[in-house]
Amino acid sequence: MSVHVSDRLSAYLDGELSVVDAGGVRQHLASCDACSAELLELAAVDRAVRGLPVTAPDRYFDTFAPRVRTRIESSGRARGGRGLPRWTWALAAALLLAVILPRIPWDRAAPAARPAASHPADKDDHLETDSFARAQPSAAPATFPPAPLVVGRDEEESLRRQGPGRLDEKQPSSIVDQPKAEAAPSPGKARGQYAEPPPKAAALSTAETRVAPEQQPQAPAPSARTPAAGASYTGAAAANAAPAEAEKLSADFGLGDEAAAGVEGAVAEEPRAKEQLEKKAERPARAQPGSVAAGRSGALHSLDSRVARSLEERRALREAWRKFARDHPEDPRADEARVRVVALGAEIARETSKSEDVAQLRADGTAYLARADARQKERVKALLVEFDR
Amino acid sequence: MYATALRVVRRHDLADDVAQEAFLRAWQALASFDLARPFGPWICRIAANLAVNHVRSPEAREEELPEGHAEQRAPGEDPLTRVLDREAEGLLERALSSLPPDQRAVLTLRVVEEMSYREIAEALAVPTGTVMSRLARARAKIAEALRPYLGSAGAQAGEGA
Repeated sequence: MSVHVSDRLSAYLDGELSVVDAGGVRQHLASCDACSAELLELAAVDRAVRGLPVTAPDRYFDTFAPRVRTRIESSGRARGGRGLPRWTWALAAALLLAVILPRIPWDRAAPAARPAASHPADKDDHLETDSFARAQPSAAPATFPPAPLVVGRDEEESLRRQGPGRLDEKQPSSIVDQPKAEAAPSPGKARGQYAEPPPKAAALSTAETRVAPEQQPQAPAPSARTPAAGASYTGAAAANAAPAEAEKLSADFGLGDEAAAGVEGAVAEEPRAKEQLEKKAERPARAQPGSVAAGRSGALHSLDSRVARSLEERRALREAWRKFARDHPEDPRADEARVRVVALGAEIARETSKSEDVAQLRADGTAYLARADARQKERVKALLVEFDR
Repeated sequence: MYATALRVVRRHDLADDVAQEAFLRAWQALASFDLARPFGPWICRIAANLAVNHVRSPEAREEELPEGHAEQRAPGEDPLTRVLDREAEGLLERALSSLPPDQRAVLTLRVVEEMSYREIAEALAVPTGTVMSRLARARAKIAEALRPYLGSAGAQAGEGA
């Protein structure tokens, strides 16, 4: 038997060894029970650490946004600077929301929707969300997973056969089993915007996407952790739960309704949803009956060729662009229409310097920046920055 | 982000401070932030760095988390299982708390945040080899502490060691 590979097992578990090293370890594992057991032990450690609940005090996150705002404002005053323009509050709110929202268990209003975890693998679902469970008396109670630490021989066999870095992905019943959303990005890489389900904890994404009974498909008992099912819940659950959170955060950050609507858009930013949105945006354009599509194109062309020579004409043109974007939200050109709204708003606000025009510009700008489907954020950001100068 | 910080600093008030500070830093850097990049990992790395810097600082005093912060139990759960759960959880909490902060940070970033060694190395400004060795040591210590609960795998590993 070759020399024990204890010193390389940790890196092997993470898939961080070179191909040659990993091959050597795998070969050794095939014939060494002690090292195989040690590998399983390390995997069990990860599982335990990942499953250890993290608890925040009751209502902690209710006050987090205003406290952050206070801190930022204090910091701005302390530095004596002018600080960042107000529109960035909306952007910050959207980003904050994008970070916090995916961590809120959407089922907290429906504790009975999911039976108490009894299967060892279920226990990972409680990662981090347990804090919320504690904060919500009605939430499903959480459990700690010593049981999954125990490793069966079958699991050991399959784990031994696996290559490094694939433990989490390929073995639904293994000791390191984590429910993965099917379309989730690869673990550990590009965790993505939090508006996307973070690959960080596929367990988390499953836990986060539990849904209320009326939304929940007839999933087989005892849990809703089927990867595909979990993935499919994400968009709907987030979309349903987001408005309330968006409203609250927008209030915390002093945003208007439009900005809040934009924040909701950011929250809904989830890869699959985004993909669907893009597809949806393209589909009607292709499928439009000729007359309707032609009419829309004509309207767009008419707008595009319109020259606004006066303030009133600029206002009218802005509203016309706004109307086009509102009437045809699925049209790929709606994005450009929204940008035109902001660009014209900047012109108008610069011309009048009226607070209501400035406010309108900021509302339009922040709403656009917070949109999940916005394709020209840099352009709009530049417009706003330019205006604030 | 708060959870990441809490796992590293081990105290709610410090984790709260770190989480808020992370947002402040992110805010200050927002003008230069590329909107095309994912925001979550970026701010989590800021938080992780702050947390590690805090526990490295001389004035940092680590205290045990207050009793009773753990989660509620499922009603009707087997009392024996409950006791074992609590014991295992307590062991794990103590084992994590006893780790050097640098090891705890690496373990958290890898196991919970699922960052690659390279990402961790960049975030903590240490060589990749250091990440690898700290992680291996941290796992070994936790495994040692949890061995009674690791079942057959733990028993075999213990015998083989």
